[in-house]
Amino acid sequence: MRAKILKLDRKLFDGEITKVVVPATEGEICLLPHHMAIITTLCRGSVRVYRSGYTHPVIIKIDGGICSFSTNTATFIIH
Amino acid sequence: MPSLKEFRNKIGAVQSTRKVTSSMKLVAGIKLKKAEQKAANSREYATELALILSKIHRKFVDGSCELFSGRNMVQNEMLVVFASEKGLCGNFNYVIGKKTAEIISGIHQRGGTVHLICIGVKPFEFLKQKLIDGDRIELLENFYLSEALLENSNLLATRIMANFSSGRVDQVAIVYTRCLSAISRKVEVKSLIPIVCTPDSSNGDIIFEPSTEEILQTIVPYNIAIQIYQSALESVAGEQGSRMTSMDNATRNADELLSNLTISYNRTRQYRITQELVEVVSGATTIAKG
Repeated sequence: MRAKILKLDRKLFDGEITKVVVPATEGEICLLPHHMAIITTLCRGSVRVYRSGYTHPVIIKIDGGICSFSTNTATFIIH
Repeated sequence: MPSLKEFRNKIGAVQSTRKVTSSMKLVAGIKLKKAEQKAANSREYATELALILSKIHRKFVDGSCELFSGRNMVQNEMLVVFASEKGLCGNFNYVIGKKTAEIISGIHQRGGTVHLICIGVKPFEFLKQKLIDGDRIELLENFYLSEALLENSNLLATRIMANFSSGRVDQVAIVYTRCLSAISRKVEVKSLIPIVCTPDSSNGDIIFEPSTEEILQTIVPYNIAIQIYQSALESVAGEQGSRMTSMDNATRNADELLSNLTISYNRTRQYRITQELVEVVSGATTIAKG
């Protein structure tokens, strides 16, 4: 699966991942390959991106935003 | 015939004007590149946001949300016009002013009223004359300041949403100049409310967390702010492109003027020398005869 994390002025991450943990407003969500399509708002917290071939996650701190997951691609619109 | 001194003064004046126009061309070129870069950086962001909105739109294809379907009776329309704060940019402000005037007259013909928000002081007076009783006009100055642009866009988006929710406006559109290249621009009209979505081709159910309505409450004002931000950047790029072109033309005109003035100056100088020679020779001849 793929993740794209976008900020208004730059792209923070774009690449293949194995899973991602997101701070949704109603609690943390872990998105794995073939997860059902979901759109959720995000709150202040950290997005933990597990890249393919790496054990440690990339941690990206955010203030809020929107996450959309469909067809094995997670797109993050970060405020 | 003007004196040599007058010619020298004129040449000096044209040379200094040429220096100014050529530096303005360079500065506009740098600003154009910066604005284009910023607009390009945020383009993908705006596109992805629009894609998410089109997925949400699938829930409201029955027309149950007036943010997507629009209101049945459109009486008051809000227009946000992106123009320029400064002049010397060719026909940039004229073109956008003319297009806005056309839209305003169309709204008046339909019997509606206009709430015009003019960003950039230049076409303000011109557009003010196009309004009739019941219309409103506002001028937003210093909107394009790069450090405050996003904040200004957010504030304007909040105001637009408040106006729409309270029923003061039924439809909102923006008029801006899209920068196609350094030399070509196009005035475009984009609808903010109702939201125009590209049809979403994906199938299957989507989970919305928290609820669709709550997501809409967050995403719609944010999308409007991003659209405003993106249009402002495009508009700034268009303005700088227009300024660059017109300053390039001015520099070329100054070059032509300089070349003509130099020719005239040399001709006059030659004429004066010939005249003096004739006077000396004829004087010498008279003395020799006497």
